[in-house]
Amino acid sequence: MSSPEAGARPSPPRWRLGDDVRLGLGMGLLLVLAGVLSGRPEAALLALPLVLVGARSMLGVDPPSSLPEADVRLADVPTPGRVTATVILEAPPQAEWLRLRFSRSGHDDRELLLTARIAPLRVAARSVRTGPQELMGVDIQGIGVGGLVCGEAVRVAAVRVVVPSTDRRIAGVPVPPQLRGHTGQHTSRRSGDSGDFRDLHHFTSGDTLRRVDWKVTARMSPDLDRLWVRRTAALAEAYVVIMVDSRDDLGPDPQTWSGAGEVRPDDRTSLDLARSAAASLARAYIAAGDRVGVEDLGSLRYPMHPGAGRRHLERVGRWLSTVRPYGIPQPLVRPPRVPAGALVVVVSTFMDAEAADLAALWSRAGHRVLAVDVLPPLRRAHLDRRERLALRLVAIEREDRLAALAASGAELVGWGAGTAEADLRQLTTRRWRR
Amino acid sequence: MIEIPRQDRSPASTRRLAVELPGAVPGWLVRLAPGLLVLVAGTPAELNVAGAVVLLAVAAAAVMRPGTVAAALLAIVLAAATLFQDSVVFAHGALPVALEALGVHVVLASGTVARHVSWRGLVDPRVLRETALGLVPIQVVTQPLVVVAWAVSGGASPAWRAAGVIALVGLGLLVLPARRFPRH
Repeated sequence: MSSPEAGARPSPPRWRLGDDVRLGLGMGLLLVLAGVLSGRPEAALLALPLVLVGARSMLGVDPPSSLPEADVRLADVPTPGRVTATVILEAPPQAEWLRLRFSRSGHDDRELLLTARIAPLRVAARSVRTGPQELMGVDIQGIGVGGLVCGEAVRVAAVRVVVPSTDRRIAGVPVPPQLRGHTGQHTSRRSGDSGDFRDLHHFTSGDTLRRVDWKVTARMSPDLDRLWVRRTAALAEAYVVIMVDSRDDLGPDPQTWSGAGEVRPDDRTSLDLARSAAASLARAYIAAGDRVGVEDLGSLRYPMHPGAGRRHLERVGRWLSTVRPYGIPQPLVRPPRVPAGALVVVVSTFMDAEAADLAALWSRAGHRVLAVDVLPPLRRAHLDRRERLALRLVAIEREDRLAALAASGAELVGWGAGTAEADLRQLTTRRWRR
Repeated sequence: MIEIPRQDRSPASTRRLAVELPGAVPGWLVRLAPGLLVLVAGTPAELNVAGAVVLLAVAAAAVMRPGTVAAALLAIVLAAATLFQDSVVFAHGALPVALEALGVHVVLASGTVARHVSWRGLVDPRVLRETALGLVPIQVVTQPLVVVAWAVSGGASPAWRAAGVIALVGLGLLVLPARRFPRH
């Protein structure tokens, strides 16, 4: 029985001479020989640098030497628009220089030749993309003996980072017809202590004398057989559930929808817009004292139940930042549960019927439904005839779907089309009827 | 892989990864340098038309495939010009030979840097400084040898020859053992 070492193949050397060094050295030696044989020292002297440098490089090869290492980490908190990485390099003693290649999705590769003893580097990428993404990968190679000896190239895989989305300030948001609770900033139909006038009512048990409106009492019952009180409305809060459809991540270029091409780093995809829309609406509702929950229609992640307050808003922001497509989406067995009377916001591209059907279902169940369309404006100029035709068919189907959704009672908000402000303003001022 | 049409790509400034490297030299300049240096190094040789064409071809090769071979080809061209144009040893003295030996070495050094650089890459200026300093030990050996060879071949007085030999031995002792036999 042979030992395990006997059958093992020797590993290739990790450092080796450049391909043409031996050739250059051989040509130099031939020239020296020619100079010596012809009795012309000038010819031999011209080849002397080649011979000396070649000999030095052959003596300088040290195959078992270690390889360089790189540590790539986030330099600071990433923001949409700019992501900066700090690259810490560690070179083996044999390396005089380091050859690096940075790569990042949607960006051109960047190659550098650096001296081996270098301070941490800062590398920045411009990108408006948000959510989970790879920071940048690095290929690194050590180079020694004046560039004549090269080490094995090392690939440092890119770390994944999460770029939070930025939210837009929204002036007003529509509220559901049915409010809940006894706190909040909305005036409900019940009587309470908000300060807003509700009605006049005769004095009953439980009313305080402070609420008696003496002028009205004097006018309504001059003989004072009945006291009249001025009642105010109660405060209440709205429940809002934001359903984010994470199954699609579509850029403005339809050629990238198949996944074959890369989305430009200066293009916002539908999921970037969805994160921004959901975060902006959540901020607006929580600022108004309402309770907001978020749920993912595309994956089986834990939903965030409705909550209020600044810390809940931060949790919602983190939750939204990590929304991304998870492979082939699982079909929903039953629609997500929505609290009674809650306003449902469905954030989707509505490229297929699933999100639209759910929105119509909630609308028919009596919920006020906002359908936020986050398909970005498309770039069609470079498409060929067949691609334009295919896109037109998809667009027609989608428009029909949105029209049917509007007919079912859902209200459309064009976030991707840039009409969100106007749409929300109109919905805020309009009285909603079931 | 499907290439996104050119007119639909984002601007180059957006696709570029920005590296904070003060004084970085653009890669295209480093890639062009060996070719230009071949032309400069071939100037003292007073080549005829055929030689100039060959020199241009070597310069183009140095740009397209930088490395040691271009420097070796340059040395061969210069040596051939010397052998075929002049029948006397050191016909023009030691200086042209010394400059040509320096030129071959500079082309060799620039080629070894350029072979690790892409056209759109960046080069740390300290790499170029280290490369320039790396010329010194080899030239410290080469240049005295040129002088000694010129002196020995009859181009100088006996005093010059003695001084050249002493300088060569002294510099050799000073430079060569430093790496191979480190002092503890």
